Amino acid sequence: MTGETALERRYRRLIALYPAECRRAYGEEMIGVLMAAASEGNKRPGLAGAFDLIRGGLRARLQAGWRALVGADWPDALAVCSVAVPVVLLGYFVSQWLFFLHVFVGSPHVQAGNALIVAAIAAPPLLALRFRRTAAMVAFALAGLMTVYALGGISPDWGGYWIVYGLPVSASLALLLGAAALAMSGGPSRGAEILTPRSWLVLIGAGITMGVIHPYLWSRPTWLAAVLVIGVLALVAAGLALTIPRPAARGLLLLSVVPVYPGAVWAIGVSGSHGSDTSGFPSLVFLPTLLFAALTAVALWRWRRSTAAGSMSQP
Amino acid sequence: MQEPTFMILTALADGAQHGYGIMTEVTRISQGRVRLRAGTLYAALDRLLRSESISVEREEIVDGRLRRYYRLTPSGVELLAAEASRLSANARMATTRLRRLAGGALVAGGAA
Repeated sequence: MTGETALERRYRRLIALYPAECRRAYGEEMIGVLMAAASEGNKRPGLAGAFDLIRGGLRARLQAGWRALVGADWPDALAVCSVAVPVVLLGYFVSQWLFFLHVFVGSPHVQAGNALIVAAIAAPPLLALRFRRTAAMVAFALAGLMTVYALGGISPDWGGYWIVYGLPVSASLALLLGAAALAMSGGPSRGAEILTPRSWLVLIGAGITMGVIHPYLWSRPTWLAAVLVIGVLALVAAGLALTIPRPAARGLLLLSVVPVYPGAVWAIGVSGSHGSDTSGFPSLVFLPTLLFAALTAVALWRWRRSTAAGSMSQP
Repeated sequence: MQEPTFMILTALADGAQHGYGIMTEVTRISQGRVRLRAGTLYAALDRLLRSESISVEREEIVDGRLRRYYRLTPSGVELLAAEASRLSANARMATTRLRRLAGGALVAGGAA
């Protein structure tokens, strides 16, 4: 075993820029080559050599990210989404509803509204067990309704307070993701095959946690609320990623960015140097949401055409 | 194909080499014009391993450090041969045209 010199330590720090997979494969070998190529008495890597390692490390990280993207099992990741999205949303709405029933029994009108929301969220996955196309359309329509609800907050009358509607935007994106998942994957039946008992615990636990903490967030600073919501969603993604096969988990982690994104923009907007200035929020959140909605609509339309063509070609 | 990749394959055409051996060999055969650095070398080696143009022949520990020997695979030989042939055809074409240009210049010079 060779004693580590100052030069070797510095080279190791530079090689730490490479992704773990690369370091495992070539790290020790590269150190050997770098040390063999170093001039006698050198204590620091040369500028050009250091730049070469930094560039190589960053490029290797980009390539590793790209390989993860390409190697992800998208149909299975989407199938998991088609179950995960409604389960988390149901857990959230039901627990929040029960919480409010506990502290305040609202008018029958309010209760009917809440029951409708729960029924609407439960409808697509239940419908999807038999009528997947109808279920996707229902999820898409629900996402539209949710977006309209959120758009109401942009009215100047709401001033800066409309940002609390970041949550409907997230829910709207989650429903769009659910609709895309129904169109482009094996649907809830395949998702249920992939999910393990632990995954179910993660999903139900996350939904209930969000529903229970939500009433307490009203009196907290908005940035803290956003950070907590993003934290819970990140835990859901990580919990699922640890309990389902890796290729599907990779896709799922990337897909989870979709509903988390508005929350992240919200958190950055309200905790940035401009205090509660969220003037950039509509373009930063609604434009990507509209783009995602358009892509989902195209996916649904293509799926509908392909299934229609498939059923016509059958005798 | 990028020049470092071509030079690495050329260095390995003479037999299996380890990382530092490839670096020194590339400097030697390019007469000092191409000097590979470790980051560039291992990016190219990784790419060539993934495309199965080279493979690891053996590993050994020398002075407590890992040394891995790489060699060309049959598909690596084909790749190098195709690239060498392409470069050679390009060089022939350039040489022919340069001769023609020099000839034309001589004729033009004579006419004047």
